[in-house]
Amino acid sequence: MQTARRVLLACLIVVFAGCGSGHRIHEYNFLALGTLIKVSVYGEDEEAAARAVKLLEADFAWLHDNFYPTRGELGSLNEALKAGTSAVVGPDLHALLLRGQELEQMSGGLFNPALGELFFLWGFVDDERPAGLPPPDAESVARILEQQPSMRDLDIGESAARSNARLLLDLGGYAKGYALEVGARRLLQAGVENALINAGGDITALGHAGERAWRIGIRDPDGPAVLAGIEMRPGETVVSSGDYERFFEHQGSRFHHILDPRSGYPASGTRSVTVIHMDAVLADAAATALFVAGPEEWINVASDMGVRYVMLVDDEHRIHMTRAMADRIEIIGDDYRLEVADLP
Amino acid sequence: MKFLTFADGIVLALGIGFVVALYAILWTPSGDATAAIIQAPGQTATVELGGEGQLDVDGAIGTSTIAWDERGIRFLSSPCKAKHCVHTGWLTRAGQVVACLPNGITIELRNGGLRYDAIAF
Repeated sequence: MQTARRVLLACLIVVFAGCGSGHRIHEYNFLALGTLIKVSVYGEDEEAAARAVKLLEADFAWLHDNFYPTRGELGSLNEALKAGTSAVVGPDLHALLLRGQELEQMSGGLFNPALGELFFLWGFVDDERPAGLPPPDAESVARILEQQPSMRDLDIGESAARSNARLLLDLGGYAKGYALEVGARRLLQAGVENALINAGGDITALGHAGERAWRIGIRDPDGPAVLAGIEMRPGETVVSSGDYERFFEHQGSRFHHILDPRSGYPASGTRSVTVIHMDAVLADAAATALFVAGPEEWINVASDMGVRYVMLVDDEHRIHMTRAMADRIEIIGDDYRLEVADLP
Repeated sequence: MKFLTFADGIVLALGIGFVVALYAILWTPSGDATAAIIQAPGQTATVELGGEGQLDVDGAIGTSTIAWDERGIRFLSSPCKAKHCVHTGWLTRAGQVVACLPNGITIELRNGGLRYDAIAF
């Protein structure tokens, strides 16, 4: 019976070790970047965790005040661009603008932060789109697209100026990714090695949750249920873009916020895209670009942008994913048809 | 002396079965929710589901009202303009999450142990 006791004891140790790990996660919430930020810290004492999160909160507040198209540093730059002059850009904005140029090029123009005027026109720049505002008329959209504003038209040095009269900046497509990068760096500097930073559903994982990996559920675009589950590797960011995030309805038609730079209208064919990458900024921009690329083109754009872990849900109830993603994701339920693709 | 007796084998099988059952119960991502975690700026509340009730939660732009009964839990009203949170309707299954972003309030359904540390959306 001694052996049996040992076996039973081993089982109980396994069980209680698992239960115990859940109690050392401290959770913090605050509002920034127009969304709810949740930070989960594992393993630190509560005071040290709270101190580190306070520093991160200050960083996010600064980014919120300065990288919004109508406020702070970016707001001043947009005003200067409209006036046909230039504005001095600080190091953070400078780095972000250069990344914007690179990401537009990598995505073949499907990700384009220079189309700020189009986003203003649709009313998607405001925290809350004015109720009842109809979609823009086709002529107004065409007037912007005719000029093909591009990040290439932005001269970026100590100051920035435009050479295209239709160029205005909206960095909303990758500012959250940048914030996650800044936040992860801040926590690591403060000595926090195991944490989860959740910026409105875009999530960066640092280290582990004790003995296990951080576990992420990915939302089903059809409703608030979880479509898939995945374990994060240290340093990875997961970003989802979906047509359910921001939208409005007008005369029976639904218009979501992910605009196709080629048409100026909401991209069609895709419900949601999830990207996992070690580079949070790239993951954020790629999720938008792949959403726009749609179920036919996404695999080529993923290859061009260097993203291996991609899942795309289309509007015909199919889940497309890269083989690398299929190897590590757990799909819940059988409502969707799965199609696995190899990167070219 | 035998390495394992018949009784040891039974206890071993029961032990393994116990761990497998716990894994299935606590780690698989489906099932009816037993509790809802309501988070707002600076506050968190846990609601045990099964009964009936209503809660006013102060958020960033005003007060949201959250109601629950045997069907699940939902935003009954919220001060946001778009009302996406209210239109989402009832949440019934563990793992489901709904947020009123303008008001900074989320509801997350759980079933016993925590299945996911966060939801990407």
